[in-house]
Amino acid sequence: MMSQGAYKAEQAIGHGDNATTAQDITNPDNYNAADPSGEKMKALAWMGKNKVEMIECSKPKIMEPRDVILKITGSTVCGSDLHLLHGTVVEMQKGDILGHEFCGVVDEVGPEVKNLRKGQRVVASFQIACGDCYYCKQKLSSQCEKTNANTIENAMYGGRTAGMFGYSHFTGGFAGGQAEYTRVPYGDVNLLPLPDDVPDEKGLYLSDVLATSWHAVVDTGVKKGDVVAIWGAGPIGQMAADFSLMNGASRVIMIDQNWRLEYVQKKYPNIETLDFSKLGKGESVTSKLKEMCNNRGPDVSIECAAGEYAKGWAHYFEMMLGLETDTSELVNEMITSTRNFGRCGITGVYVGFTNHFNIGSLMERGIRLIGNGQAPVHLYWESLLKMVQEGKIDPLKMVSHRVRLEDLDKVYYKFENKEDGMQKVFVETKFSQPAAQGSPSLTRY
Amino acid sequence: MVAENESAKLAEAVLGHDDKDRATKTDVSNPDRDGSKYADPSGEKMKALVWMGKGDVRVEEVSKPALLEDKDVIIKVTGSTVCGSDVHLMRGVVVQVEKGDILGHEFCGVVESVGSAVTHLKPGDRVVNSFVVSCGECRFCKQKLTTACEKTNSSKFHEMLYGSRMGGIFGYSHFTGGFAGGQAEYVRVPLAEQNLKVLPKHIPFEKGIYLSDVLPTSYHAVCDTGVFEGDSVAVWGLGPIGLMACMWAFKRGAKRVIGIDNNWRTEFAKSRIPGLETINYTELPKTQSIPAKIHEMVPGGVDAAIEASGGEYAKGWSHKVEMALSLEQDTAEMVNEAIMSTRKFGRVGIIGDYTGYTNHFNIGSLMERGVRLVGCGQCPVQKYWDEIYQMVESGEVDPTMMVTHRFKLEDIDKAYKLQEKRGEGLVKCFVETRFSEPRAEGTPELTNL
Repeated sequence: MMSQGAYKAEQAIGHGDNATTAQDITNPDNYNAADPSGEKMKALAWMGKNKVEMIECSKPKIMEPRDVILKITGSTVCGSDLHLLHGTVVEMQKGDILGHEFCGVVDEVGPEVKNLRKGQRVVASFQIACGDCYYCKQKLSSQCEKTNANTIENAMYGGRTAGMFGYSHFTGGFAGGQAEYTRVPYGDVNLLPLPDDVPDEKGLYLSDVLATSWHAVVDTGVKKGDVVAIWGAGPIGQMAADFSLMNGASRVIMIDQNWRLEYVQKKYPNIETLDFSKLGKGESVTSKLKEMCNNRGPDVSIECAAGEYAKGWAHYFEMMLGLETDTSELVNEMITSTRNFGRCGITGVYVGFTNHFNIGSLMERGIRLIGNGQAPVHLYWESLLKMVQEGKIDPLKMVSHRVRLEDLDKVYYKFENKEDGMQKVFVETKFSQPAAQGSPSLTRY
Repeated sequence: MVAENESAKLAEAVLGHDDKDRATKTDVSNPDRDGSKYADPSGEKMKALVWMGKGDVRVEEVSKPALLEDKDVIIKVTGSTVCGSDVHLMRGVVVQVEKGDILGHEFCGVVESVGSAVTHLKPGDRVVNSFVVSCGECRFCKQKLTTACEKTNSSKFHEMLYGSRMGGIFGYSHFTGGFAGGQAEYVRVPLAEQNLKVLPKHIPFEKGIYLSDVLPTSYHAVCDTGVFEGDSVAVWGLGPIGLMACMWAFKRGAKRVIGIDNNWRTEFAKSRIPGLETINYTELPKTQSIPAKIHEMVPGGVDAAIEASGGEYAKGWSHKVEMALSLEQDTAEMVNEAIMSTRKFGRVGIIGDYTGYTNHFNIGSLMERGVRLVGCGQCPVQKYWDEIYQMVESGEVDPTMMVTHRFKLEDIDKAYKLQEKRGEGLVKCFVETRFSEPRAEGTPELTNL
């Protein structure tokens, strides 16, 4: 309801005039952007709250001189795609193609693209950057001023993020990469070539997960010797744990529940775990962490879960009634657990307003609460690629399944219910290379 | 608020008081709590400002304090003042304040007597305190983060509410150790060598006293939030802290500084700080919010924002109602405005007092746009003392720029009320006692209230 209301408000008020690339082309057929050849493709589309479906639609065409049409050879599903599924991100429209993490082969280039050629293997960044504005010049690509003209986001936040692939009209409205082809605006800026020794199954994750978890660690500020606590043992949390150790952390403690912690204990044996569902009467995550950390608490805490996951019934009802859009439970736990004058980073998605936020503990104890922001992928992806090449990072640690694009709608629901031990998937299309070594074998649904 | 004070008391009774292994005895908030132990054996009396209930502070006659521990010093007070945060205490916004508590965390004076383990201070020394009571030896004190001292506060309620406890503060309730304050004629300073700074004769008390809190706190707000060469900065609240923060921001290289308030204080600030821009938000058109105004003045938003008002000052009726009904303790209005007014990946520092929970906090703008919200924390005075002292001594910084009034200790309760009303052009006062030195030249003359 709120989502559709926001969309109507956007239509009534109109977009800002800052964008230098076309807005709201979330599906080639719905917005007059179909390739003239008439070629069709498969894609994953949002069809309503809690509804995604595989559809057949037109292949996209070049619309602007710096566009690239990418033939998709790999994509995946993100925890933040689930926020879209649940309808917590406003301004979704029926038929919007999702997917902000994808890699492929260059199929066509616009006349002003000089640095890429047909047939080249590349990975896309989840954000769309122009390369020229105040933020892009500092490689803060996720805050580009020219690719998102959405007025509602501007009103809610005081400013806009960059445009994003497959992430609602709220972020500019761009068709995503959970498809067989995707149009990449400013393709000369938003695509990174993948060398031959980096297979798609590893390179794909430069689009989002690797940059986002690296950014969470260095932006929040993990220093040598720090004790780090991480909320949420999903792919972001797992990679952030590894990266914390790489940046000198002496201990990392991950907080979650059920089999996800068993997965962590198996794949990341040097990470300590805290199962919040097993706490005793009178214990809390804060009291347990203080007990584990010399009665002071960790030096650095990182939230990798998100605001939509209420733990207690009070926040659950407040969110259902629209009194708040995000719960403050995890952020409060983080603040009260961290030592005085310590640092807390928020990387999990928080979209709006929250109640019962412990501002007293933050102010009086000198806690730095760092909104990590949508990660500026371009700042990191070249050095992260090198680390993948050198074997310092192994993204396959978090990949549990290989699936087909044609099954992607079913996969969303399995991922949501955390079935089959599903962590991070690799989605192959008819264009994909055979599975690289170390990749899980294909599962059909 | 009174309800919360009562429930805090109950909670502490249940949780237990954590007063073992403290570096100094906590909760001696008035010598008359146990005259046989805490009062000076001579039986001498003194005047002091005590909290008697919500909205009720009075100048009463109480016992002069005695030396209790070997690191103590007794100060003959020659100057004190009233803080915006003292007004929070009077209004009952701070929990665990008890009837009879002597207030005042900013004071200066002359050493009268010293404990047996005090070697670097002697009777006759002119001194100013740090508002924080710190031990100097724990893990945090060793890093000069003295307000996080682990050994000078016993409040278990504080620990439960916030997750961890901060250290002791003079005259600021049992939530922060329950130490008797310096709005009096005498004050006992525990761990004195750690918590007092000597002032040479050429530094008048009217300047030196502000080393106790305002100067370090406003400086900390600017340094901790982070103001760099060329930055644009916005400051909410033009009381002494906000005013001095604007001054420090320019000193640290800010190109533009915008001060925000709702009354004559914007004009006062402009008169004291050349180049300062201001927003009196009561003069904005009804359709324009503070963030909209700031984005108009600084496209994209400011690099750094500092919230120096305090969470109890709700502007709109919805937050006022929520606070009255105890649905929240602090309003989120100013912090939300600051977040929205700051550019992406910019910084917001909170130095104004926020004590509990707030609703309608714009966490989306913070997370999605990469805004850093810095809880400045109670300022660790000792970290900045030497640096700021040099600047006062050389004349580079003149704290009297914010001093508008001089009162007598006997009138300090009326000064509280004046401060609360923001009345009669009062920004910061100097409160003299019968022990004070003659008024320093260039400082305001005495006003009898």
